[in-house]
Amino acid sequence: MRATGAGKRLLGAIVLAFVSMGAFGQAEFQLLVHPKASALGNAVTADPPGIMALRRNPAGLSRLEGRQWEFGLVAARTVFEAEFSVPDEGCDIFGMECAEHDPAANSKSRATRGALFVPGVGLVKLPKEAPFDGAPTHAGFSVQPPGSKLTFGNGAWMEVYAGFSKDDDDPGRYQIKDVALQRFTYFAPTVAYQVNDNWSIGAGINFSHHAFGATQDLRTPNMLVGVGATLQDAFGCDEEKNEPLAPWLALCGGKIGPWQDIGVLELEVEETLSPSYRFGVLWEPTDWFTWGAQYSSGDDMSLSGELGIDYTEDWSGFWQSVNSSVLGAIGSAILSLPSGIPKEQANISLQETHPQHFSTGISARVLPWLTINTDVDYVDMNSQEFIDIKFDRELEFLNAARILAPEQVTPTSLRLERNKKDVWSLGYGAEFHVSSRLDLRAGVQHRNNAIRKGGENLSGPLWDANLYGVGLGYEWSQNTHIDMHASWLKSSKKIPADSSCSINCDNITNIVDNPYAGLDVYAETHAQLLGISVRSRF
Amino acid sequence: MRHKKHKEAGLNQPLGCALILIIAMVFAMATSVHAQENGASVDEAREALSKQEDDEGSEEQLEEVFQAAEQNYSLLEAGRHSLNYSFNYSYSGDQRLDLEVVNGQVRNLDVTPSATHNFTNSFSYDFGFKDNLTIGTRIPLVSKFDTQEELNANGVGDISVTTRWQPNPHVPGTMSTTLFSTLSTKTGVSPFEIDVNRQLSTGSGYYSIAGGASVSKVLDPVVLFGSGSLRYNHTVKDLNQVRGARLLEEVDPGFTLSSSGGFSYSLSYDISLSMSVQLTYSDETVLRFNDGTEAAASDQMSGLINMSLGTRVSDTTIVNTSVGFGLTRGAPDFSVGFSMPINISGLSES
Repeated sequence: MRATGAGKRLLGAIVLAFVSMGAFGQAEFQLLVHPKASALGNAVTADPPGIMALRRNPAGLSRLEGRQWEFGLVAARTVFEAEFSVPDEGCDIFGMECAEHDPAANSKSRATRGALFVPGVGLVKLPKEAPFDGAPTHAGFSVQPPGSKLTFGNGAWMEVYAGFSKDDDDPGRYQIKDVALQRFTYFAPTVAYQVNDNWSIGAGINFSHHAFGATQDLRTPNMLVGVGATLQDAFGCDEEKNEPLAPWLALCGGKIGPWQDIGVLELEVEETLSPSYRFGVLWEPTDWFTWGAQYSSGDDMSLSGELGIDYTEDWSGFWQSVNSSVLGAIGSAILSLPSGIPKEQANISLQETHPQHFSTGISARVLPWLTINTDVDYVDMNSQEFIDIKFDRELEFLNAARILAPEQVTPTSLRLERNKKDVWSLGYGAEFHVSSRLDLRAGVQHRNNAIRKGGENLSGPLWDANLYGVGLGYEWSQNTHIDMHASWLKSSKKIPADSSCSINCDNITNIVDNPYAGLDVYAETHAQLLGISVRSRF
Repeated sequence: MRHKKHKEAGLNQPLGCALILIIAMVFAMATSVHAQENGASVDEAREALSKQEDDEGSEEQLEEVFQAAEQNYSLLEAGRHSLNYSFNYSYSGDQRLDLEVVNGQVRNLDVTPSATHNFTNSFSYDFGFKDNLTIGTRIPLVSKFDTQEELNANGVGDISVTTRWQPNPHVPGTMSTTLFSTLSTKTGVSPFEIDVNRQLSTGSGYYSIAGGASVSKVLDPVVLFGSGSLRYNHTVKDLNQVRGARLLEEVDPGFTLSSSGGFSYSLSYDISLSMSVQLTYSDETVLRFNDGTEAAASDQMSGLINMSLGTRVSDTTIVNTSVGFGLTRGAPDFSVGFSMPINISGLSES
């Protein structure tokens, strides 16, 4: 019986690791496209931002005359905080008080370090906490032969990025300790065609590298493990090393308990070539009004990589002792209990979807000195509702979990449901034409969360949020244009105890990870971004 | 009109014109005809055959020869760049036998039909470091489909770097020699790090380094060419792959010896034809497992014939199409290729 609990816990850990993959996927979607987009609340489908028209509306390349290049940089500061507190009505797991036994109770988690996925290396934590992490965001060029209606463009950019790293003793380490999710588009040949004075169309193919890496400490604040801990107390395992019921039953090979670490999960998967396509259209019936729309296809990916679980000595020792006893050996054979191996490792393959994205919007120069942009974005997050993971060998935790969830688990595969829903976002921006060379910008985007109620967790810690931005565009010279922005986002969520079985349920049957069982969780995320891009002719 | 263009191009001899045409035609010739490196299975042999298109092949050899009609050296001039795109499709279909025999008894027997489609888009970039020294890199983007198993894979293949050195200036009428070396990385998805039942690889899984020489001689209107090379494949360790009931921990792919030869013939100023054959010998590959056992795949030969057609589509662009046929079990059943130079203003050599 405890075996199913163990399997369940570990299954939950895997679930959470992959849930974070999808949660972040939405959270970071189009968060950082271009300084102009960030300053205008991402309402740039009808007013594409320089060479990043490659990304927001390929038809916009037609507006770039001659041969131009562009390069962008960002300095970002992101802080992920969470507070775990014992609710007023108290909390206990099989009679063990959370406040007394859970080291995470009434403590705070804070992640400010970044993490990256480096191809060929894997998940890399940035060396130390810095006020801002700087990185290039995009680079590209476009070529429009004189007099031609065709414009060719190509570029590279970070399509999706999210990453953080927590300290080894951070209380939040049980729901993703280190994580990096990124999709880097490295090759994006795109062509735009100016049909006539009013219409432009464009299309391109994007080649991307998609990767996800995570580590997480595992623990099992579950009633079943609470039973185990109580039995160990009754056996006097702490005081006497002897097994009182040996050889019939042995439980003192290692200490277990609801808040005892059982191991560390490491996971890395990637696909080096994930193709997708985009197309867009721009309609400019008058010189003051533009309508635009773009669609990007997303991709059904087959990611491959490795998963490893390092069990603690206590955990593996406990199961070794159980299996060495008569009743334990019989139970193991019947219930596929863990054998107590110190480490499990497997090559894995998984099917994941990069969601399709559609946006449409208008840009209207309502006054000679003012342009207003609005956009609506749709992201098909429902496509990520399931994730299928295949393992190249039988793993103990899968064998154990299969008993609890036979329809989802086989000894070599997992099918996970993630609480996803489609997302619509609205963005608004205003551009003030101060002079012929200077534009000032301000905007906001209302970003909706893709996780359904009851599935909240700390793995992708961004919920409904407003992205605010200000910025400017400046004609530095006849050939050179500069865009800058400062944007910020704050997102918070209260997850009362027992409200989400992705984090703090305390019932016996929940199958999803709940390392903070019985605790109130309050999480807050801040992001501040400063960006600049330079576009010039060559 | 042809003659007019011819003069504008500064080529005053019929030979020069024919040479220029053939230069680009052979771009596609040597694709996918390469060393079989590990011989561990037909599958891996194919991996080897399809991935090493960066080897010095007939295309480079002929390019060098024909450029020599105008220059002392046939490689890129110092400071010049060139960028090329090529596409290659190959198909392999067969029945695979998975057999384990212990003490004369068959322990494991499995016969699997296989049908694999490989699509490779690759970009190669060359830079003339000196007049007689060119360095280049090749980045393949691989898509694979196994229609029997309903598997597919997309991924960057093994990126490689090649250096070509021409020790002596070319003298028209004599044989031209170029020495080359290639370092292949393992950026592709390794066949030793995947779930073999559910995934496909896009790379070799190990580093390798090759060195060799290529020669060519012009006998107007025919150009003869040939090359030979030796490839050392680095042993891969610390693997953890399920192979039946065992775990594969180490692969020693052995070495590879390959040679190729052929000729090109100019039919007109706008069309030329080439034909070549490539033979590859692969040393035995040793697989080591976690239970201390070893399995050795015996050495083998593979061969492939390739024909290509070069067509001038503009004054500066020649498009090559090619078709190849496998001669042995380890080679693809057939392949089709296409290649052309990419000329974005200011980026590529015209």
